Amino acid sequence: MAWNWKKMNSAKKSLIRRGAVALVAYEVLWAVAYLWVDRAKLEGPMLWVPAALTTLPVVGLIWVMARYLGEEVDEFHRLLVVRCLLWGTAAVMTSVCFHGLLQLLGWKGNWPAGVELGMFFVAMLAAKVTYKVANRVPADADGFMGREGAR
Amino acid sequence: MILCGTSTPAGKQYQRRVMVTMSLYVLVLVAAVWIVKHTHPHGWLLYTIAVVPAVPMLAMMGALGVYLQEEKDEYIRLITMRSLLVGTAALLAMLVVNDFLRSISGAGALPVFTSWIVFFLVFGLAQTVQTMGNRVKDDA
Repeated sequence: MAWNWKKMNSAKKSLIRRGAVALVAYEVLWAVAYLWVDRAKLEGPMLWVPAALTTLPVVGLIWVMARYLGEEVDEFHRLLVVRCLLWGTAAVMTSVCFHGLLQLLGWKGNWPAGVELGMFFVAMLAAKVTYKVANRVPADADGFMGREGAR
Repeated sequence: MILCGTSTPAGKQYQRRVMVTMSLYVLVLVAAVWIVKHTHPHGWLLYTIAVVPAVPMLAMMGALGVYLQEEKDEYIRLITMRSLLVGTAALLAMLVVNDFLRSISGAGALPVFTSWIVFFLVFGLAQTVQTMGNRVKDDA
C-alpha cells in the first residue's frame, strides 16, 4: 500500500503535484476571500466575486484530473480514477439529496458549509483505497507475468 | 447525436437502467412524501425516510459506472468521461459558491434537486457540444 514515488509513472506524479497545488490554492483563496469580505465589508451582489474566486481551484482540480486522464497510458488506472470520481460525485449527490429531502420533509436545520466538498474527497479516497486493496497484485506477479510473456 | 452512446448495445443497456432507476426514484419519492404527510415521523425514522430516495440516485451513478466499463467504443467512452468531469466541475463549483455565501452572509442552502438538475444538465450539454463539435459528414 505504501507509495513509491520512483515507481510511479509521470502522469500520476503530475496528478499528485498539480492536485496538491490546487488544494493549497483552495485553502489560500478561501482565506483571502474571507479576509477580503471581512475588511471591505462586502455585501449583496459583490459577495459573488470572492465566492466565485474560491471555485477556481476546485474547477482547476477537475481540470487536473482531465489532464491526467489524457496523459495516463494505462487504461486500467484511467478507469479506476473515473470510478473514484463517480464515487465522489455520488457521495455529493447523496448528501445533497438527503439534506434537501430532510428540509422538504419539514426539518428546520442546516448542514455546515463544506460538508459536500469534504464528502467528495472522503468518498474518492475511500474508493481509491478500496480498489487498491481489492486489486492488489502479489509482489512477484509482475515478474512472473513478464517471464510468461517472454516465452 | 450520441448521448451516452445510445447507438451502442452498452448505451442502450445504460438507457434502460436509467429509466428503471428514475421510475424507482419517482415512486420512492412519492411514497416518502406520502408517509411523512400522513404519519408525521420524527427522529431516526424521518432520517431513514429521507435517505431512501437517495438509493435510486446512487444506482443511477452506478449505472454510469457500469456503462463506462461495458462501452467498447473508446471514443464514446472518452466523451462520456469528459462530460462526467464537466458535470462534476459544475456541481462542485456551485456547491463551493453556496458554501461560501452560507458561511459569510448566512444565505440559505440550495433548493432541493438543484444539484441533480445542474449535474445532469451540464453532463448532457457537454456530451451534446462534444458530439456536435466532432460531427463527421456521412460522405466523409
